[in-house]
Amino acid sequence: MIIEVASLEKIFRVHRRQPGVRASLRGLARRDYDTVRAVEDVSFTIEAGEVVGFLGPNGAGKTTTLKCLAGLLHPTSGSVRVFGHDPARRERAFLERITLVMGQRNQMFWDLPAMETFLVNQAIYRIPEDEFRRTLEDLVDLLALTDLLTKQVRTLSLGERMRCELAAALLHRPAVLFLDEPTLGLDVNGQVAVRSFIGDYSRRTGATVLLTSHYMADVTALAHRVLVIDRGRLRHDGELQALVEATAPYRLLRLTLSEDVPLSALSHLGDLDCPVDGQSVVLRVPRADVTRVAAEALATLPVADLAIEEAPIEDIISAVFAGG
Amino acid sequence: MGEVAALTSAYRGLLRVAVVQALTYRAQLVIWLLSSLFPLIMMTVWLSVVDQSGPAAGWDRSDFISYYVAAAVLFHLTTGDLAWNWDRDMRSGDLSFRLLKPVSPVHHHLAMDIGLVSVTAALLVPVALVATVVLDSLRYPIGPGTFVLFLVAVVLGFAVSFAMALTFAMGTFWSTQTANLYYLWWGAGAFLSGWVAPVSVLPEPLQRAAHVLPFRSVLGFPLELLLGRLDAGQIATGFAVGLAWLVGLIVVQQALWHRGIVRYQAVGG
Amino acid sequence: MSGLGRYLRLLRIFWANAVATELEYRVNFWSNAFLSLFWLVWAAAGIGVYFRFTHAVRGWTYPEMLVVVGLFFAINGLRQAVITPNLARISEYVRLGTLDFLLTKPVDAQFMVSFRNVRIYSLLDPVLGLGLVAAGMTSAHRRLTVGGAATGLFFLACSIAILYAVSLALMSAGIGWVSSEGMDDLVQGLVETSRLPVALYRGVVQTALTVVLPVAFLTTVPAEALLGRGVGKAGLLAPVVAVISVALASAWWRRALRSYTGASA
Repeated sequence: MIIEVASLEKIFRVHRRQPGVRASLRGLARRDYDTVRAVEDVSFTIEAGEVVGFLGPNGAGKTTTLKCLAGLLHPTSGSVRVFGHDPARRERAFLERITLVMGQRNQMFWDLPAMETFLVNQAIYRIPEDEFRRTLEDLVDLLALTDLLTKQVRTLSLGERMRCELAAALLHRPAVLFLDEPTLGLDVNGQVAVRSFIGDYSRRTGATVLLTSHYMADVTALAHRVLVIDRGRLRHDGELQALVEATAPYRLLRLTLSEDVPLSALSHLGDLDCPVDGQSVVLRVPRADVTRVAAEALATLPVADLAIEEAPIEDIISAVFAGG
Repeated sequence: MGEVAALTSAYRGLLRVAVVQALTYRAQLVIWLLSSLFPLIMMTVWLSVVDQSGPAAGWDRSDFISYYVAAAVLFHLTTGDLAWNWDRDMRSGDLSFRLLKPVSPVHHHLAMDIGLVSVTAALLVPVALVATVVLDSLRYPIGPGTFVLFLVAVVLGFAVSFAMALTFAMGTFWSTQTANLYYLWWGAGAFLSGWVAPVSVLPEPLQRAAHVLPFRSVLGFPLELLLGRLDAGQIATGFAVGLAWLVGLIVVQQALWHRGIVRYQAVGG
Repeated sequence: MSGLGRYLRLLRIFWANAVATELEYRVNFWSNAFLSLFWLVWAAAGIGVYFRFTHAVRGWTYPEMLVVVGLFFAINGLRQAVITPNLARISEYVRLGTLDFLLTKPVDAQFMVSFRNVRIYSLLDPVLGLGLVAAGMTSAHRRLTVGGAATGLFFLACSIAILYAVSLALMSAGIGWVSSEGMDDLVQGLVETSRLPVALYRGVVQTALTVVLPVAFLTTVPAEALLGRGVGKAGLLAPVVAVISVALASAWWRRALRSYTGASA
């Protein structure tokens, strides 16, 4: 067992401040605090080599949990163990085996070429020269960094920078990767590149990966197991497929029609997901019936284009929350 | 033992990038060097004063010139960017990333400051040496022994200055106003360090304060050593005061650091 | 609506925004106000050291010198309040395309670029600085005559105009040729030398600060007028230099703008 979290709780005190000059003045003397329970009674364990996705809306407690695991936050109560270490003590043996990547945050030397950051990390993590060369070669290969190494970081595009960021974070071959929204803000190509790299990396090295993301595709592509967190509580822990089927027992059938069709011709195929927009229609179809309904639609309707999609992650999550 | 090897390795990498970084920010470097204008402005006024009314507190033209020229150089050898850099790290959240490295953020910043000082030294010291040889007004009448002591005093000055900034930087765990507080401290210290004027031309009460506070170690003490104005007893006292402050500041800083980290982990990074 | 009225209204909107934003952080405000006062006392005390050894340096007594320091604070405060936050952003405007937006607005681009941002904390510096001027005048036993005040204000206006021209010239350079980061520090270096009356500098430096760089006009000339010390030839020159430098800077600005739009078209 690499990661053990038992009854984790994290409470913040935040300063409450009313708008207005008078309230600001009063705030100088006396402050009102609100208690925010960012994480409550969260327990789970993760085995070596697992790739686990964290799902939840903004402010659900994903990042707080991740920071507790990385040792940046001290739990209010409960216990966290990573390789048997208490992360908050930030022992060297612990720090040398983990890494944290945050999307849209930069931990590289902004005005220097990426290579400089890599060299500093080599020194800080005491990576022997030949191992450094080998790892770097691999990473340059996998992430297509060849042309980027000698460019100043600030001149890189967001996607290029994220790839360099990942390389910098992985040079010391950490056994555990904490990835907080690693694809945030990237275009589709960038998302795919980062996603497939993370998958490859965990398969090749057996690294354990904990990943938070807004993008369902990140999670579907990488994680077999998901932890769903809402308002600080763990709502689901298990296989992704089970979560999707249990909470979204339907899929979406997106039809583009070449001519107008009366609503009655559609309604027997499935529920309309949203109002008909011109000749574009989205139907909710029970998971088991998707193939049959799609075939029927193609046979009976003037279909120009047809796509089968999973329900958006927000819908699935809100279904979980409604059920929880 | 392993700890020492790890630090040595980390410093090799950090110092290298610190130098590269200082050289990359060439414009900032030039602007940073522009702060040497201030002592030179102060100097010209003293020259006018001396021309009019004779030596001030035993300082003649050449004393003032030697003092302020050396001050303009030495300031860059003992003063780093730590207070500002740390504040920025705290605001941007970069401190979180540094905390995840197996080397303390303090070492990161110390290496950055050493890098900056090395680059400015490489630029300024040769110029100063040539000027000393060429210009008659620059007189540093000391032997090799005192010169070695001067070098030690410069290192001590850098250490005291870094320790002061670092101790104040710990305040960022509690308050967003820490940088301003440090500027106040530095501003008050500028009088007592010898930056505004040599300590011995200040009013008597200020002189007494300057001899027991840490500021003079950063600038005035090494400068007076270099000008050959101190006897053995004064030299010993100067080193003792500087060392005592260094140790004291490190003790306070360590205590604050441990509390600060716990607080940081409590409220979020 | 008349042109001037519209610009004043725009200025009010820009600056009211800045005031609201910065007052949100009251601690910041008080801390900066205190720091301003501290640096004022610091500057006054700093030059006080000389007067332990002499009554006057090159004809300037301590109270008279305080008038110059006060004016330096006023000018420097205006620089930090209005010039710094705008000048430093020029490169960013060009990089992010903000300048293109500004150019498509039916408002004079020079106005927008020069006055869009303000750092309100620094507006306290001119107030404190003028306070020091008053203190210096009082202890120099100079009665402020109507004529002295009028000429003093006139030369102060010239000095602000010159400073604005310098910064506009740098902004123009920032649009076309060089990075504007660090330019503010150049202006600061220039203003910094006006901490003391130019008479205190010697030889070439003094000539350079009067003839090459317009430092003498920033604080020395207004101070001499306020103190009723007779400004001499420099007094005649000040308005001329002000008008010429603003005209040159504006011309250069328009030229930079033309080459910018030409280049990006």
